[in-house]
Amino acid sequence: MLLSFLRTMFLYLVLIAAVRLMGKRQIGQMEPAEFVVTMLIANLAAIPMQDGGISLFSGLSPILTVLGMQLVLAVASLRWISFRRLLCGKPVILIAEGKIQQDNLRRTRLTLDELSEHLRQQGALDMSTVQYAILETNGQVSVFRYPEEEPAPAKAAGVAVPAQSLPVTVVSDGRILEDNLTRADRNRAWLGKELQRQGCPLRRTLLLTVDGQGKVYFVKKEGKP
Amino acid sequence: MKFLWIGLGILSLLLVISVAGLYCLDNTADQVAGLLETAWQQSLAGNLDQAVRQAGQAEALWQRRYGLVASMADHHDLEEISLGFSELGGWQALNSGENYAMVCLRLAGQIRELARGEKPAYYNFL
Repeated sequence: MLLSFLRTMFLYLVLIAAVRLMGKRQIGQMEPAEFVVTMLIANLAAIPMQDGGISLFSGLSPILTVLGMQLVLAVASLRWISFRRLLCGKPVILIAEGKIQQDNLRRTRLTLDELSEHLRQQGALDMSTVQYAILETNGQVSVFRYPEEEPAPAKAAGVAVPAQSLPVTVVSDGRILEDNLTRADRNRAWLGKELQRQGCPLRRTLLLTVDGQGKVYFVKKEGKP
Repeated sequence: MKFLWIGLGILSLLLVISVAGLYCLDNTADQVAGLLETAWQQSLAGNLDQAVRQAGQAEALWQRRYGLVASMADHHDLEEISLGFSELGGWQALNSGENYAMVCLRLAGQIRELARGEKPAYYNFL
């Protein structure tokens, strides 16, 4: 039991390290090969976790081999377009200038029902409003409506909008993030005044962010003090 | 580029460790099996004491290299081999030369098979 516990802990840490090394992508954004590798590594890790008869090296070896191959292939995809095409394929245009590309639809084995489903998921209820629809290499469909069908951006509508900047978290769960405080061009004196204004001590502050325009977002901790 | 080197580094390290491990396992299996085969012959020739000495050396060598072998081989196979060595003690106590010889030969075969199963030969690959 203890061995099982120790091996599982070790393999879990290896799995986390492997996933971190492979990079940050959500499941829906992964290329098919990346998705397969992620699932494969998880399944490979489960085998030595469950079967104490398999030596740890024999269990780790396939995981690390797959990880190494994935890293090498990922860099190769970055450097050589032809290799990337081979590994990931090319995006396919399903609708061009409002016209369904039937040959491409047949080639990608996508039915009209599936195409409609993808369009609806992107908020395009009426197919006639879609200028372009592209099947990306990760299986998602990008939809571009005709400009006249899109909501007008503020610039085109001549509407003046306030400037926007990235809010910076300066207090998180009662703790001051000093680096972020400096990044936001603020100091502890300012923070003290702000907390006084909010009527809340530091230890009862869940979240406090400030953006470039000085806009503050504050959340108090719930529950008993 | 950093990740390319990390990937290549991981693959190279694994390859080196695997090859080195295989070499050590093969070497160990060869030595231990050789001693057991000698013990088998001695036992068949009626020299049980000599056979016991040879088998004892084989077991001692096996125990010394056990850590390395256990890191590469299936533990179920290793358990079978450990049981085999225990069995030798039993037949020695009963002074049964023939059975002692049989177990020595079986153990030698098991150990050689263990090493053979790890070799990158086409039959293992397929």
